[in-house]
Amino acid sequence: MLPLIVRRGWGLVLVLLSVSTVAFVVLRFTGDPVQMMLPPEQTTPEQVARLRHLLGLDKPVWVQYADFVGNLATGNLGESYRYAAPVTPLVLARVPATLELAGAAIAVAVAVGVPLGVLSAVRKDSVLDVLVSSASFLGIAVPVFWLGPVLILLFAVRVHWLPTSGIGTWQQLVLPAVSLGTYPLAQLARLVRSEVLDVLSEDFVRTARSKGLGERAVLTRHVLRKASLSIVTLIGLNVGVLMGGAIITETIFAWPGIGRLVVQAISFRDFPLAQGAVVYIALITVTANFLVDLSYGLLDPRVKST
Amino acid sequence: MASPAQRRSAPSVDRGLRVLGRRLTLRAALGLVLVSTFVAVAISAPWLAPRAPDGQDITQRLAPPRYDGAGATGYVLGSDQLGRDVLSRIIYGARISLVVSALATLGAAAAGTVLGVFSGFYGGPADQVLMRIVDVQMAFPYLLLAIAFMLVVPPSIPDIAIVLAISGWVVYARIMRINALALREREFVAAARAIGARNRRILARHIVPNLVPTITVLATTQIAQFIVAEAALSFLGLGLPPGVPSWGNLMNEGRQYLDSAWWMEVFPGCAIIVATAGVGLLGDWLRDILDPHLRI
Repeated sequence: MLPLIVRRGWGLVLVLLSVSTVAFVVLRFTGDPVQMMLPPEQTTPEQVARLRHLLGLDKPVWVQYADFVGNLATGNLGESYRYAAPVTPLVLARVPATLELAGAAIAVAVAVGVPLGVLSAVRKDSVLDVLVSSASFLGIAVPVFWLGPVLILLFAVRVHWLPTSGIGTWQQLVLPAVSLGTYPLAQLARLVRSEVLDVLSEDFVRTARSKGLGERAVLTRHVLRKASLSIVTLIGLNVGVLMGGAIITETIFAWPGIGRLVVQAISFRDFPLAQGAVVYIALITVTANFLVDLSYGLLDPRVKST
Repeated sequence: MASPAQRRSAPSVDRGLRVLGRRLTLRAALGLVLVSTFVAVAISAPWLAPRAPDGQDITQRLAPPRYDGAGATGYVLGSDQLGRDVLSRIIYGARISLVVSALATLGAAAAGTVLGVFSGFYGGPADQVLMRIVDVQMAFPYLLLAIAFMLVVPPSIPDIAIVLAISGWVVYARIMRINALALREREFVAAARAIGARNRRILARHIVPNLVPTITVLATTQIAQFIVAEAALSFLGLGLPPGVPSWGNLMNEGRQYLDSAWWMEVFPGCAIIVATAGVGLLGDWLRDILDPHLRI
């Protein structure tokens, strides 16, 4: 386990370095932050030059990059242009909101998707199975930027059951979590159905049944246990998708998370803030995939953590 | 003179079609119908649309959906804040969605396949570099990459297609590389080498033809993703200029009138759902037939 963690940790450093380099390079092409911050008709060239100097944007790009990487190595992500404050606390202040949203979305997906998939497989070709399969198909096709507004229309505008936006109470979490969770929910239901169908025909299931084990025990102890590997993999793969979906969901529901922060930072050409937020998003994605890899060994002892 | 392979190809295509026909399921048929409708609507938009997509009539703004029979003046799916016909705008939007997603998929598939196949077939340091690039891009939400690129390029249909292709090529590169690695070791490649075939011929005649089914399946899935991605960019205000009737733009405008004109938001979304669901059904079917082991 320990060598694995060391090697993966090294890989993580490389990925983070590359991701921040890509962010650095791409952002430099998006425009001039100084022009965004100073209205051209009211400023003198001297003021522009002074601000450019203050932000360090008058240095050659490669010096800026060297400074950036040097600071990154010490955990310093620089200062936001817009907020004139260090980036790290600004980003960290937003991380919990995004984790809360993504966690709630995954919880919705697992709590609804897994039982639906199991039921669908156990009662294959029943009315329920057809309903679940069709619904999960629609769930994959429904874009979050449609589902979000429609849910707001139905549950916040027409009937005033839930608030349209904001953060803090559980009522405010429901609509964003359902919007963001629908896609992984539908995927999970489909995956669990096909996995359970596969596993149900295996020899060890017949053995378990023939020794008199109840159907419920067969399902929970044998079938789901075997299927859990794929379930966990899918959740891990979805973390990247969730972070992308979170950008849109947070915009729709005015959710103060890291996705909304990064979109605002990019549009404002706030280079340090955008770079910092991207680094944290990549960190969350890569860490989630790492945890998924680690959990394989726990779920299936045959998987050697090599 | 036709080579033996070419002479055999006509009946085998015919046989292939027969096999496909026999295995056409209800879901697949539904997918085919939905996708054909999508394509047909996109092609025949000028004849299908009841009004001009940008014809404004300010006296009829935010008119609710109404249908009083063929040839009547009502707005079947309602009108928007400038009195434009939502149905006509959705019909023209199908063109934009189809062109953007098809171009982007072609670009991503071509670039990813070429890089992946060469990388897997030849190996070496270039392969290592390519795989690191793939790793990095996988850790980078494609939407963020697209958002950043959209700030650089002027938003037009080819530019959006290029941006989407840049964010989507890695899927092909990864899978094609692994497949090329596996195919390289197969007996028929060794046999071709034994009779003196060079790498270029082996790639063109033996490796790439074997990858076509997988490419087809991946591309179908990706078209659906790109339809959604184009709309997502427009929705964030980073896609085609406002006023262009892309599905994402329609929904972005509709969101501001959610309270008073729900049809502006709901119907364009339905168009996206129908198109992506159709492509998805078709993709599932193609996967089952062409490449059942592919996990995507």
